[in-house]
Amino acid sequence: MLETGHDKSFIPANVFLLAVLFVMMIEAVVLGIRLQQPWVGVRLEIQGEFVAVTAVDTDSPLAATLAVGEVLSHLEFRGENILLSKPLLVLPLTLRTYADIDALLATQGQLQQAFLSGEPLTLVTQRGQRHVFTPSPHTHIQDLPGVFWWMLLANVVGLMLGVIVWAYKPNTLEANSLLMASISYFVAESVFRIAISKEFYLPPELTVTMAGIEAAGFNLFMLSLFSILCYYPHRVAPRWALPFLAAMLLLHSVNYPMRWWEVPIHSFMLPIIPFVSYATWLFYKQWQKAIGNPLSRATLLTLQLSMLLPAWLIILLHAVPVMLGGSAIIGDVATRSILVAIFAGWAVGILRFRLFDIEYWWLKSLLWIAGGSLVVVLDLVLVGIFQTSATYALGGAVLIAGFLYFPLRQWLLETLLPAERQPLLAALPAFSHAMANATSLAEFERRWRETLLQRLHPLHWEVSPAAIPHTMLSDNGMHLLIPTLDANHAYQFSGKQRASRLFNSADVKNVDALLTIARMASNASETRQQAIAEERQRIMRDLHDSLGAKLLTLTHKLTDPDGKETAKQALMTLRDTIRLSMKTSPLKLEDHLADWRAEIADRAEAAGVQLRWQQSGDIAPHLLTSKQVLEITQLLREAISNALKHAAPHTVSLQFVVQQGQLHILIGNDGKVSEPSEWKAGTGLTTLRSRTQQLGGGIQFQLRHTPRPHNRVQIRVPLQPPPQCP
Amino acid sequence: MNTALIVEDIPETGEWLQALLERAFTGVAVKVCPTCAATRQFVKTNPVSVALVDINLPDGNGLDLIGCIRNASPNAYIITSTIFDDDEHIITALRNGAHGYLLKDSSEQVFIQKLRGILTGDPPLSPSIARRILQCFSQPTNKPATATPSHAETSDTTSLSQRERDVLVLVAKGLSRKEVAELLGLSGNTVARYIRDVYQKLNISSRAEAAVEACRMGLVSTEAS
Repeated sequence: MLETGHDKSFIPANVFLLAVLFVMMIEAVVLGIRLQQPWVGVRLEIQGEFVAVTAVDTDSPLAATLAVGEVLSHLEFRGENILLSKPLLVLPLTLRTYADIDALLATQGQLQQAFLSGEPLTLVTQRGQRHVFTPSPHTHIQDLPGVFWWMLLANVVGLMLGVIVWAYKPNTLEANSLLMASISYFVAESVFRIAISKEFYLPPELTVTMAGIEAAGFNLFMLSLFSILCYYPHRVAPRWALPFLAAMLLLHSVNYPMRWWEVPIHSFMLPIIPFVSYATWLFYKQWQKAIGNPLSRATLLTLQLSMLLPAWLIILLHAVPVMLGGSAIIGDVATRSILVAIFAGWAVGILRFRLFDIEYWWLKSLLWIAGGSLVVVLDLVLVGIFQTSATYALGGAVLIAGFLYFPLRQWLLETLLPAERQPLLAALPAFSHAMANATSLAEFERRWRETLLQRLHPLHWEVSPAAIPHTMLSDNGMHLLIPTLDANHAYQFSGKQRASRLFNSADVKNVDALLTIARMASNASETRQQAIAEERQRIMRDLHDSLGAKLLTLTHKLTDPDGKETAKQALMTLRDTIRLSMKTSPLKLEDHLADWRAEIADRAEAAGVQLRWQQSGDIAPHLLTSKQVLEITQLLREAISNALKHAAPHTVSLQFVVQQGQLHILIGNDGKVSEPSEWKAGTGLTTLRSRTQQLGGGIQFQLRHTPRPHNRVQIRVPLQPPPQCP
Repeated sequence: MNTALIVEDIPETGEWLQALLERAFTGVAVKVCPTCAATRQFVKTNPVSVALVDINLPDGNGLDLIGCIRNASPNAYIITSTIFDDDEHIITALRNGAHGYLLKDSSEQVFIQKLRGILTGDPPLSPSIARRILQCFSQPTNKPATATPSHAETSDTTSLSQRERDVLVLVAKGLSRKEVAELLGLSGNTVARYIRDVYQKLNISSRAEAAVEACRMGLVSTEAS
């Protein structure tokens, strides 16, 4: 057996080779048994309580006489009538009681005697036609029916899924269990293939052995799946549960062929129902454990639903009708094919392959099933209640279903995916609006992040330093990595919709679409800002080249000192304006105090006046607007000019105090001091007043006598609150 | 002081500067060049001892002339004379090898005083320029030579010493030369020397950067040296 290997030498190629050898070995046995059976070349099918001919081979001894559709009555052999009725074609596991099985075995014994006698046999139909034939003693391989080979393909697929999972995750509990399940299922189904492809009978001893093997194989298959249900992805069953289940299933497997005790209603199927119910309970427990963990939830959805859905489907449509003594709604081959689908679901769940797409798959399959069921239900309703003929009923059902399908689909969508009710198109206007309003790159980035957070509601997000070219899923949809607008970093979002869902490929597509738009908006704005800056620079350069040069020429040409001074002042103001307009960094009060200090110190030194400079208060955090810088620069310049010009001072003192969001500037000078009321107009007082008013502040002129007589200009300028430090 | 070069395109300003120089330095020969081309032509054959270079010229940028004049007359004092004292232009001028800068709208007295300052080794330095220089040197990209140990000696000449940094910080706060000297317990001459050194380092580091850039681009072979 493969699963005994705990050795590292079990590389995938070896495992696959072993699997192929195993398949070939079993197939040799199956073919050996099947080809030994006699051959007539007639396919039979249950029709009501009888069996009907569905196909006659061209090489069949009955080819010329027996027509398709004939309902058979009995076989005459040595004057005895062997009744050919429904139970002949029912599988032993489907038969309800041991008595039914014994009746079947008795009929099979009679048939075996007849077919192996070598004498001509007479087949009698319900219409009384008699067909005499001699069966050929063996079956040729080319005479095996299609279903025999189709089931081989389905079985091999199921087995290989188990083997592939094991090869990639060898010796883990879930992979071992799945491998065990697929092997036991393969064995059970190999037996089933012999049974389903039989013509009239199988030898009774073979029938008994096969029923035992199939029952045991099926029970082992169930036990293997239980071990996954109990332990994967979380351990939900108590410790004794699995041994107990194993014991019960073993008991069932032994009791069924040994007939120690007959289970009522259905000797094989009834005992299975509590197991499936318990599996459903385990699924519920697993589901509870998975709340808040979308990855486990998706795993679970795939694993458990891919088992429980087919299991309940088979119980309701196959087992229940059989147990109630009727005919199964879905046949034996269909039930086996459905069971193979389990392996596909489990392989996906265990390998955690593209789990992020699972929700989408489930939604699609549910919609598909819902649409199909709607047609079936309507068809049954029309036939049952209105007694409509089958053909009209189907047409009507399709029509009505067509009308009902889309509202139903809409309702399903809203119920299953409430969070994504807002499609991308509906989100676009608000998104574009938010993006169009942003002015700076930082603002664009902030709004981009806000949009994503609002749309995806991640449980957690962080900035990861690595740059990525486009949006990506990671850890099976647990995380979504989204590039920042500037493409230098990435946002890592974890747990979609507060960790209730997984991120999926649709999210990737939508986010990438939004990213393209956001980048376009941001680039357009950036280009605009750059154009503005360039235009401003061009204007400033022009101003400098033309106006600056003219003013400079004036300062050199003019002989009148007042005119010269005015031209100089104008040039200085122009220079300040240009300099501030070109600045891109924030204007710090601290830096400008330094500039003012240097300029005033220069002027004081040139005038031979002593400068006393003081600054206090919380200066560092405050920023100025360019207007404030320009106005205060002018204010200081004019006030100093006045002092130097009119007072011939010995000392000029400047004091800057930041207090309660206001900048207080005190400019004092000694020398020829006088009452401000006596100051002549034209000393620039009006300009000083209007400048302070422009800044929303105030100005006062004083004559003070202590400690020494001095004039004082007191200016108050409100500052904007300092920006919050990040 | 034999020959002074004035690069200036406005005739009135040129005349004003010429008169100023002739008055300040008796016997000096002053040549006024109104364009870049004329300047390049002139310095090829005439060594100069001082050059006042305007930035905006009709046929180009005066800042590009600084290197050319330096090459022709390595001992010349090169001064950027401008009405446009924005940090960007002045830092570029200093990195290109200028010894200082003068504002053309200063009064004659101030202009002469500052010019003499530059010639005697006491160049001007405004707080905003000092701040910019500090920024330049604090950025690691401006010290590419420190990356390799073989260039250890250049790293001394392309990064600021603690004293130089102290001087720059105080100047950046708006303190006068005298106040800086007093606070640091240095003489005025020493403070002036530090500022001169800083200017030189700006020039060296910019040339080192150019060399590193050239190596990076494969223009200069590192094997040969």
